[in-house]
Amino acid sequence: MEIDPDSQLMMKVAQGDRAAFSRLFERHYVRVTRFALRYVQERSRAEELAQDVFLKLYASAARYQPSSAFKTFLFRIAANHCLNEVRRPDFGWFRRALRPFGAAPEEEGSAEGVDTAHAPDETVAAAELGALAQQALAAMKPRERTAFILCRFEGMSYREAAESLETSEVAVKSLMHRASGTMSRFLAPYLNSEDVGPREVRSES
Amino acid sequence: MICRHQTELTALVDGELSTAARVALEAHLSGCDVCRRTERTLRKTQRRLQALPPPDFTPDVLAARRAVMNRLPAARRQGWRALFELRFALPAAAAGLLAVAVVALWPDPRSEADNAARVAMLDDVALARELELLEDYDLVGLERPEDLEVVAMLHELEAAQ
Repeated sequence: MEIDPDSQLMMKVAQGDRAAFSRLFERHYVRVTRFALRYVQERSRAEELAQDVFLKLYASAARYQPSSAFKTFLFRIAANHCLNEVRRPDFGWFRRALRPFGAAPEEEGSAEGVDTAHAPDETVAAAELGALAQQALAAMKPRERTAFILCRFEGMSYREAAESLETSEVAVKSLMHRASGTMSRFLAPYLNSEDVGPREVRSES
Repeated sequence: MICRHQTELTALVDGELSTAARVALEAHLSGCDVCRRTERTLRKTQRRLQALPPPDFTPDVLAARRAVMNRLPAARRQGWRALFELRFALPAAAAGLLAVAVVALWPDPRSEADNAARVAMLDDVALARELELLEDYDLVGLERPEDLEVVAMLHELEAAQ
């Protein structure tokens, strides 16, 4: 079996190679943070979670076996860690996610990190679309959300996502079917026309 | 009306169907308005998501997290491996020692004279010392290889007294 470069780096980490770990961190930290941000929807928490993921990665280096791609191993840790986070009873965002389905986007404000007060229309549209996408992710069940983020944002195949989720491809197919339906329902105001903007969305709602 | 083929449409859009399944579903799409609309919606959704810019992170964030990673202690594989080996090697050695003692001391019906000679050959004092050493290992706990040295030092102190 051909071992991917990241797996080779991971095996060096297991031998105590700090430089190899730094390279893995530089290559994947932002990806893991984006994954966590889409999962928990809070930037500072996502950064902490991603840091935790790398600490766990480092601690698990001795047990690492390059039987699967490094990416699926890394995101298995990330998915489990984020899943544990949203299951915590004091996870505020998760409680907010349980609000009634179909809340108007105006109630939720703009997308996180984007000041839309004086932004051009296309920026506002992107921010609102991003906010709707986040609401859709929040409305999904955790495993649906994980599968959706892995496949649609991380570019994983169903097989890779199944490895990260420690489940079957058939299960991922089912998770993706339900998650995609949820996403489509939330983005529905933006799907009638490729050029639909925020005003048209408001007039429709 | 919900068509039974609906559950396959996301996999079709994601390019996750086998060739045979894809051809069959595409043939179905040509005659099913419901599935065709759903497929179109799923593809539009996918395009909309792909057009979204990914969340960005400042270099400061990366620098702060990198600093934390740089403070990590050295990987402990060698230490854990040594500890793993120690945990299994010591009980194995103890079991071996006891087995030798049992075999040596077990009454052999073939010859009482041989038994007496065999027992006489045993160095009872040495055996007692080994068993005592094993008890000390158990007492100290042996969490690290260095604990072997601790036990040895205890014995040296006892001998000095």
